Amino acid sequence: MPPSSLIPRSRPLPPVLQEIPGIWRAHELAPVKARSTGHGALDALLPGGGWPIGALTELIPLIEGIGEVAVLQMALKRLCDEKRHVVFVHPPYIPYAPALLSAGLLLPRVLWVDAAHDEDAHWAAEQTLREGAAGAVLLWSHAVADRPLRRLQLAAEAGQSLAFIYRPVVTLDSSSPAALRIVLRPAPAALGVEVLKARGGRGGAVFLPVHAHV
Amino acid sequence: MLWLCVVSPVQEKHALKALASWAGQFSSCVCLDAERRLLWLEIGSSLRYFGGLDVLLKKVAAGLHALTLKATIGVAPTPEAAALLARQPQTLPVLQLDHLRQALAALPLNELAMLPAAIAGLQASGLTSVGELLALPRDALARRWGLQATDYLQRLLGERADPRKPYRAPQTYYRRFDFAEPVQTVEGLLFPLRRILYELQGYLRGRDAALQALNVAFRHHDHADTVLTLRTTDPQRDALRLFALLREKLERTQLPGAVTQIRLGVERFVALRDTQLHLWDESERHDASWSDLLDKLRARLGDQAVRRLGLRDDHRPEKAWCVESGAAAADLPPAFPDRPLWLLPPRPIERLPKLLGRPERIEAGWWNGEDSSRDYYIAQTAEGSRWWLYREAATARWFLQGIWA
Amino acid sequence: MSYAELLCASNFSFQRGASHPYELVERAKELGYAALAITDECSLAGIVRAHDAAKDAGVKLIIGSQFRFPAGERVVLLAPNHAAYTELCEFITQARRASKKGSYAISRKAFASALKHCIGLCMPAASIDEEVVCWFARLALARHYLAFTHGLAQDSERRLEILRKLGTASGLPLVAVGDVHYHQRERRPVHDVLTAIRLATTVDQIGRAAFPNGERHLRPLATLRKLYPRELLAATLDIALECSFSLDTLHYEYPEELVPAGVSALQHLRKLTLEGAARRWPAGVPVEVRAQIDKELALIAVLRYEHYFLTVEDVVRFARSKNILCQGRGSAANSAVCYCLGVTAVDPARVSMLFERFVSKERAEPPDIDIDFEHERREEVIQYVYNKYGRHRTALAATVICYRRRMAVRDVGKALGLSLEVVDALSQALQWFDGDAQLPEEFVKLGFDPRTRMARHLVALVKQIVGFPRHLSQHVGGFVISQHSLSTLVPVENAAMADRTVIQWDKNDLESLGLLKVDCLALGMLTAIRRALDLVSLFRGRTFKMEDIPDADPATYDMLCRGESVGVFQVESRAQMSMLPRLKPRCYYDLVIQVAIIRPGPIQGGMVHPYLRRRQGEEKVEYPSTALERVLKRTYGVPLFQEQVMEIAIVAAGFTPGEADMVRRSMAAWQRRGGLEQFRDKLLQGMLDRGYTPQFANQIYQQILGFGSYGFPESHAASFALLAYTSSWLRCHEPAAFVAGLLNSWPMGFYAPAQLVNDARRNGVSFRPVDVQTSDWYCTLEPDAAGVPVVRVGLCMITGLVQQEGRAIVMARAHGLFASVDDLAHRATLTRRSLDALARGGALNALAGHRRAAHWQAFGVERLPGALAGTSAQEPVLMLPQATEAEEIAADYAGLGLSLGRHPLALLRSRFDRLHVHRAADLAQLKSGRRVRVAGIVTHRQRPETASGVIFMSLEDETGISNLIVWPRIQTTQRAALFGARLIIVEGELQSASNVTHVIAEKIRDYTAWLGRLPTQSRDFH
Repeated sequence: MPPSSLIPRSRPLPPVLQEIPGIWRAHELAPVKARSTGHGALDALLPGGGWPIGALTELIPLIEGIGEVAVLQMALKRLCDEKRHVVFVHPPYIPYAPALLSAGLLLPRVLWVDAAHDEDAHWAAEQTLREGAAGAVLLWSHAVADRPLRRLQLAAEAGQSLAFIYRPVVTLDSSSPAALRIVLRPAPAALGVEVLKARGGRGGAVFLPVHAHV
Repeated sequence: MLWLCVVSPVQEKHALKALASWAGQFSSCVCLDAERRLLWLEIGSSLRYFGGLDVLLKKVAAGLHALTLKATIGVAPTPEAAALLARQPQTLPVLQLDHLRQALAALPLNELAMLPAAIAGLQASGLTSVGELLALPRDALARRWGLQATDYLQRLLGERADPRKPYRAPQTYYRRFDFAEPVQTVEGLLFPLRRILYELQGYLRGRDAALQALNVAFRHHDHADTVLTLRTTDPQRDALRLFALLREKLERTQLPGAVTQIRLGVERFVALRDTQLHLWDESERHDASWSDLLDKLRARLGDQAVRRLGLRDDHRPEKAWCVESGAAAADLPPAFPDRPLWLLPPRPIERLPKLLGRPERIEAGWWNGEDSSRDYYIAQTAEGSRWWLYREAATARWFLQGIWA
Repeated sequence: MSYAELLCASNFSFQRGASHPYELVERAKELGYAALAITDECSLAGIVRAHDAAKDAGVKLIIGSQFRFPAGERVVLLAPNHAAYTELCEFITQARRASKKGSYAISRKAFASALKHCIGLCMPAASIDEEVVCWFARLALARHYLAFTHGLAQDSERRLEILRKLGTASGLPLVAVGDVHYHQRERRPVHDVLTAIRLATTVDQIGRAAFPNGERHLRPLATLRKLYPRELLAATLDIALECSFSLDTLHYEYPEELVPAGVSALQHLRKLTLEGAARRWPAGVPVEVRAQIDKELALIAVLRYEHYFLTVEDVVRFARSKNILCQGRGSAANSAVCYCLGVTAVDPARVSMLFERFVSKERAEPPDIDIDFEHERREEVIQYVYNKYGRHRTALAATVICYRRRMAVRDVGKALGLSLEVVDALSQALQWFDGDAQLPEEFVKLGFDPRTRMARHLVALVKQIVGFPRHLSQHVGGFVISQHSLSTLVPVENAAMADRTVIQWDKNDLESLGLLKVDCLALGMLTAIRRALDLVSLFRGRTFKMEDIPDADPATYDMLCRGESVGVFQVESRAQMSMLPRLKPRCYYDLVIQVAIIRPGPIQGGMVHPYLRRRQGEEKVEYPSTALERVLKRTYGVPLFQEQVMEIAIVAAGFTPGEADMVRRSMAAWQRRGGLEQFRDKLLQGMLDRGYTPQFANQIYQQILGFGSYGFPESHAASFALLAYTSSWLRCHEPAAFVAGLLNSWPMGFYAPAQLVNDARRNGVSFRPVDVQTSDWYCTLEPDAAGVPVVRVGLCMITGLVQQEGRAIVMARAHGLFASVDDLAHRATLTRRSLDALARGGALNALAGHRRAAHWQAFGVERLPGALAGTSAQEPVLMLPQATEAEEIAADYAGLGLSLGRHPLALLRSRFDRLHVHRAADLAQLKSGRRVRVAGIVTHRQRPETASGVIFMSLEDETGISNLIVWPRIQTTQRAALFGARLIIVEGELQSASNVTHVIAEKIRDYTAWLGRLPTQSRDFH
């Protein structure tokens, strides 16, 4: 028999119900807890006015190199300022320390966890989320199936951290247990942020100037 | 009292201390003079235990031999006399105070532990042996070289007590366990390991200390040792916790063969007081679970997979960062120019995207044959990605080295 | 559009700039810059060199300096006119004087209060601080600019934008600068190494302390046009246009106070000269001298050098009034005027030298007079000069200390990350090697592969850094004195010595700008001579002065011809000693030649042997022309002196005297950076035109090359020869006083006290041991039974005894001899240290019985307080064994540096006899060419640059000195014994000719162990 904590507190709703905003389950009646994204326009779009705490946010950049991580910068910086840790799990490239520093992420607060494969990566992200030891977890996942995401969603709920998962474009049309699903697309001198799904909120899109330095 | 003095051939303080702790097996009163490379053992009270002077000397000699130390030994009723004798080749033990004068008379002056100025002065006055010195009127000596000189002679001859501070136990922990029969299974190793860790825990409690790193070496009959290093994020002293971490590590380790011996060493301890201060200072409940988490991640993914990032003071992008080994971050060097979040090992590119702005030129590395001259550009691909490219001056080739994510 | 570089550091910004001023100037010319400012950090030390190079190249030079604030911002000050230049000099002086040597201190307050005329450029720090710009904008400068450097950094463009905004806000125009640190891109490694040296780290650790790229060089105009907006480039030209100041317009004024009111400087100089003439020629000044004086005074008047001669006269007069021996030398020193003024004792009639040769109308520079003073009393003269003219008007010239190869290897090696041991070993090994070719070989010996990157970098970098200025030091004695505050003329900074200030220019800079410099140098021989003369006077009971020494004494020359010259000024070196029997000096002028001939110039020019052959009549004396006969007659047609070579250029090639002098001064620079060809063509053409053969012309050219840097001037040799003669005469006729004078003035000269004493004893001088009961501080003369002077060794010879305590002994003794060591200690209130030194030196032997007892008693002296002093209890006498002879000798050497006992080798002689070793004194009697063995203590090792790698060694035994020649082949195989041993036995071939004996070493064996604890000392020259 599994330990009691492993019994899912929130059995996933049938997909059809998930798609309809405004369906609330008993324990979610409390207002959505969130952290400001640092972008007013984006906050306005998101339930709770920011990145959800204790829930999984799914980010799907159409291509890389468009500011897909920079969009999180201000939230992550604030976590660091609050002496919380930010964990990069299985990023596609080397997170470049000088850039992190310039973005205000204090290096001792940043952890880079590498994994040999998706399975380990998910495990690491899950452990980190569940412990609630980190302020935010960013996971780069190739997983297409939604099962691993569900585990993450549960772990995020347990640990009450920010939980971000970057997923490939092919997952755009699949279902997802994530509380927030966002598509990131390139735009001239900006980043297009389109909310696909926001539990407890509505969809919409904004353009953020995340490449301002060039 | 009877003193055995060892002149250590080694000079390093830690080696001397190791020697002193080793000497503890022969005497409960070990004294160390690191400056003079001398080690004294009061053996008067342990002679009977060891079965007489001859046996004891043999044991000490054999022990030194086993340590592969070519040390010389002197035995005398006073520490200084023992030291003096020990510095001479092949001297007989002097057991009684009455015999001391005679035994020392022929020794040269320059080994005496007097001020170099006094020795030089005596030699300048034509004196060469201890006997000649002892024949001089003491007040004449005191007049010239002070009471220090006569005090020394009194201590040398046992005319005055020569109390010494005993050496205290070392600050490192080392434990070894030999198996009578080689052990084939991991389970077989766990039992003694747990025992050792409990011992260690008791030791840590006694010293009010904790540890952050622990080395375990497994000796194999026909393979090199397997060495595991367990590092914990926060200071630890709990045996079961250490055991669990070690066990996880051990289960992920492929042992090349049967184990004949376990050695466990702790090089450094953390006073628990300091640790607590540190913990309280953080004031965040997260930190305790954070260090637990890191230990857990490391145990499964390996130490190398869990990284902290650091900066290095270098113009070359690929050299400007590093994986920090320690827990603490180094002092931050002055700000870097704007850099992309993702750094890539440079990869050649064929089709050049649109370049934005003027180049940034970076030239360095001539001293180790990696001299490079590169012009860095920010570029935008047709798809809208922002790349960090450079053109290598020597080859005029283009490379992609970063992505603005 | 052209461009003027306004921010450029040369390598006179020590460890920051990586190019010589001339390299920068020449590169700026090549690139077609409209002007170049040299702006070293708080310094104008390189500006004269830049000025000279700029004149040569025809580049407009702007004078400026840059200053760095701790937060990183820099301010560049440029001097558009004389007022600004003066202001800049004073500003730098202030900043330098406010800080310790080598650094400077600036404050915003200083900027605000001191500057009005300079043009200022503000270079904000990496993070631009608006407040800095506001502060800068409010300064009362002639003009303000914000400087922008486009270094191809990532933020360059953004920085320009910010500066533009700040410029608009503060009303300051922007100007382009290159912030140049080297002339071409290839110097980047050199600059990185200098940075590492400055930060005491290694190049792979300097990180971002290095520039990110090599853009800080003088870049082509096309590049600059691409990088900078047009108006920023235009601003550089505006500024350049405004800067019209040149160092040529510096107006230097001689101090005026030496001239009494109511008379002109010339009248005063004439009066002093004629008074002096009357003293020199009491019977009446000869007509021709009178004419010469008039001629010289006329020339002095034309060139307005009256003040210079008056200044020199004043210093010399002061010295004489204090009984300080001094003597002038150098170009103008050997003039009739100087002879009359007492500046020199060289009678112009005795040396054929023309005053015009040294003071020419054409050369717009002051004559050069060096005055040597007794070395121990020069400080009195220096203080006199300081007091007379005031500190603000007087300062020492600087000496630019440049990287030599060893130091370069050391610093570069460390910067490249070589371990200290390797660097030490390498620089140690280099001590005896020259030529970069040998660096790789040394690498092999130290176990390194010379083909490695490290080795190649080291060799290449060392080559470039050698000759780079490293820091400023003070010139040995060159004073600059000015009518007005010196700091309006040149920045003044603190020297290492307290209360000494130096200007930022060195001797060549001063010469180049025509500034007055009086060289007050210290000469040990003058001290020795004065002391010897004093000893003679005291012993003989009548005053004996230098003037009382008879001229042309045959016995003195006989002695020199035998090669006996230990202790004699200038001709005591081993090379000189072996030359004496060949040259056989018989008169004063022979000595002038003797002094000048063993020098790199004549040796490298191959002049020595032709001269000797012609002098001995073995070769016909020929002159290429009658015109040259006049020039070369006094040296048998062989040019030996610098002046002769210059005169050849005048007489045979049609150079003007000014041009010839230019040749001399510029030779070193030309050899370094080109320019020789032009001169060569002119010289050869000039000689061909005048009918000389191409071979002869070429030979002269080669000689000028050799002489240019190394030639010894006759004008100096003439003065030195006087002292050589004086000291020779003393050695010959007053050997006891002579050696005592030398010992009393030691350290000086070529020989250690023990060698001087051994030499004197071989010549019959007796010595008496040092003794607190009789010795004075200095060595003195006592009569022996026959009334012959004997040297009593003075307390000054005792190692470790301070003069004050030694003198206290002599004073206490005035009240009676000492009864005991205790008595001595109390009456002379000696420290334990001094007592110990006295015992070691053997000065208590008479009092205590022997040295060991002396030690025992000295240690037994009790220091009782107050009223109890001197009342310590009498101790029973302790019988201590006496030391052996060998121990005594060893103790003598250790405590006194010499022994009056037997020579240490005498004790070893029986052992040497068994090894068939010859005595040094016997060698002369042996047949040349036979194999011999000699033994001795190594007293000298020399490897002259002129001797193609040969090492000369001197060995001393109880009979004298034997000379070794060690060829390079032997050096490599027997290196350890050669360089490490103190006592050696050498086997080799004896070579003797013209009373000169050498052993050509073949086998060298180290017998140092036989010396036991005897300390010896070899003086090694390289």
